[in-house]
Amino acid sequence: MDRRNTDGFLTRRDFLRAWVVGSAAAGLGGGLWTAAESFGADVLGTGATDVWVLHGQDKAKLMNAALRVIQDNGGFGTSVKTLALKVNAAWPRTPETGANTHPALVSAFLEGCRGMGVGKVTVPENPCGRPAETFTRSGLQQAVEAAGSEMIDLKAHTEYYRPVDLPKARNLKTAKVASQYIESDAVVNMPVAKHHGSAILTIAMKNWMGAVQDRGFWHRNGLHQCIADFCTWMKPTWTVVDATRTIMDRGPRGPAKTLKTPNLLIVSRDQVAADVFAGTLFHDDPLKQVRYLAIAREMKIGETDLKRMKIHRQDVKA
Amino acid sequence: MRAGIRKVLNWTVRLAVLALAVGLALAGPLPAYLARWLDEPSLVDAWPAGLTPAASVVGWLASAVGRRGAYLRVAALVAPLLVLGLAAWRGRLFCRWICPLGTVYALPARLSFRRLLIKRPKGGYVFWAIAGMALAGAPVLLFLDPLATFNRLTPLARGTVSAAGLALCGLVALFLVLGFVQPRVWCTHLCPLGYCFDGLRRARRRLWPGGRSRKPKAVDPRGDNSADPVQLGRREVLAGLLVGLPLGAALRFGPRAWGKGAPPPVLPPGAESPETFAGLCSRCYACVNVCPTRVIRPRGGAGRPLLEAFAPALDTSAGYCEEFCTNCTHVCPTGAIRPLTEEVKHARQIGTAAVIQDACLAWEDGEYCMVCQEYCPFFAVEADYAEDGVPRPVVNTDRCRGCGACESECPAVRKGKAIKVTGVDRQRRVPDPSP
Repeated sequence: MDRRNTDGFLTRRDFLRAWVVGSAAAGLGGGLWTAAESFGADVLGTGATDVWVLHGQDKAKLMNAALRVIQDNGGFGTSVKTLALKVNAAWPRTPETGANTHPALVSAFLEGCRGMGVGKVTVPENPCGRPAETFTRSGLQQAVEAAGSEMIDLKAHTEYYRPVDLPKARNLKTAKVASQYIESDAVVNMPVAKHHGSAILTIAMKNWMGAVQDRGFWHRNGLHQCIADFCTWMKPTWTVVDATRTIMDRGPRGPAKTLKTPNLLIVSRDQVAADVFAGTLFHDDPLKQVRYLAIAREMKIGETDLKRMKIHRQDVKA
Repeated sequence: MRAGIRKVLNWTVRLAVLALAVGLALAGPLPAYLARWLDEPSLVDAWPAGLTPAASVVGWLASAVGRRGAYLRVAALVAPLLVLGLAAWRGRLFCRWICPLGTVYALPARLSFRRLLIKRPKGGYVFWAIAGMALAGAPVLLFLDPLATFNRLTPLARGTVSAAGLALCGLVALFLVLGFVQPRVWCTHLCPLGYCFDGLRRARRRLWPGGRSRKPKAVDPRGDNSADPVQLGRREVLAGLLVGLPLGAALRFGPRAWGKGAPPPVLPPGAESPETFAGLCSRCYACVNVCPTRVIRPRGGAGRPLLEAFAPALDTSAGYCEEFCTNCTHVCPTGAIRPLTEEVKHARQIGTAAVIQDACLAWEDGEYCMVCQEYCPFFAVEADYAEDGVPRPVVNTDRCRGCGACESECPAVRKGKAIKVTGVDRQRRVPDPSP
């Protein structure tokens, strides 16, 4: 008997069963949960902020599981005609390097979006490398176009930038942001988790530097404060962190000397919580190491206390 | 009637070749206003962009002499050999049917006043002066080569040309205007390539008489004299060599009195040293055309050795040499830039960066910046941690290739860029190429 839906997603029953099995596996200490093990099963169900941690080898199935989580928890909203997806497509590096969001995840996400009735998905990006080189070497242009979506090169299309006031910000009072991230019905942040020279880690919060025009201002005016400032205004509908492979040093560009493969997707509505959880893959206490996370705690931008998160674990069979 | 058909055919061919030459030159990245409408700006491999200047027999011979070695790449060999064969067979047929610059100069011929500005053809002096300079290792006068001259116009179409680039393009404007007085004055009386074709045809006929012969006729001030067999005099050879040899030697080996003390320019990967590069470069700007990041730019001569005047160089404040790109190394018609494989290019040191600490956001202002480290593809920028944990950039010159990514992306503004690249006296494999 096949319990799978025709669209390839897990059914709720499958999901629950996997969830229970996954939690049990983690509780027994036999899981592959790396740093997350230290606060194992006991925190389940005690917090208010949900964080889903999906583990699996197969990237497409992993993303399908993430989409099922999203669907079961309100989806992208009602009648979503436009969705803006913020991947990390910053560097001219191949997918296995881990410098950009993995294209297989993006392909599966875009396909899933179509299944969920999302109208148009755009992927605007202001990359660090030359756009043509970066988008093709990262495999993201091919993935996005194959799915019939649009990869937007914000270096060429500066006409999309709109000035935005950030009333709760301390340093970054105003920024020019790609209009798709302002006007779309839903916004999804799909960064890759990796080491970074000056930001220490770049995951979800810092990923927004690729959606604004003037990154130089951030560097000149307190990088960590500006990263936090932008997230006082930018609240994506969902955040899906690609931690399938993580650059542990020599980030953000790589190739890393140490590349780990946690094979995780971290899904949450709260990008700060996703960052803190993903941060545990790199540091025992990310809030001590990463200043913008400490600022996020102080400014109450999102949940930074792991003990107050409700962490759902799920093993996705390859 | 037959002459009429021939004329139509002639202009059809000429304009088609002209369009092709423009197309080849632009085969590299297109201007921003066109590239905006395309997904992938580099539509074809880079090398066709160098085909037009590479077809010059004079450029090929002079650079082979100048480099003390022939350039044996197929792409660089086929075109000049074809042209050479054509010239041996029919002399200046190339000038009247193919040369794109000849086509440009032929445009005002019908409207010309037909007065003589230059009585006797002087192309021989130009040719032998180039030969003399080539013997000295610096055939700088190659910038007069018609195909290099034509190709030099194409950065105009890309909107990336500086005042420096325009100055040399002014040559074309000058001879277009002079063409209203004496038709095709450049082609018939000054062009070293045309002179070379005459010589080749004469040499061939001496070895193997035959082919269609034209009756010699006197130079007609009001006519088209391009088909006239030119007297290959000893005078041109001697005078050209006597001027060219010392001039080339002075430019190449003389005291670098002009612009002494200027740091060496950052040159495209594949150039050896500033002297060999500037000496061999015909200023055709094919490398400028194919550079995807547009970091290679023509520049003027102010404050630089005369040898380097109008030669292109990398402007690392405005862009950088891309990690995996070897475009420019495959289009250079004279070998001023040698062809490099991606692996060799990847380890090539074309310059070195240095941090200017009092301009640096991290060193001076204690900001978390390190953009230079972030952009460096070679891990040549290392972090020196301050007591409060702020990382500050230090360049490891054993790893630095001088690509300029750090400089072009440096966000410091108060005192200008806080990291700057200077060229090297001789390009080499970087001491530490480890990944």
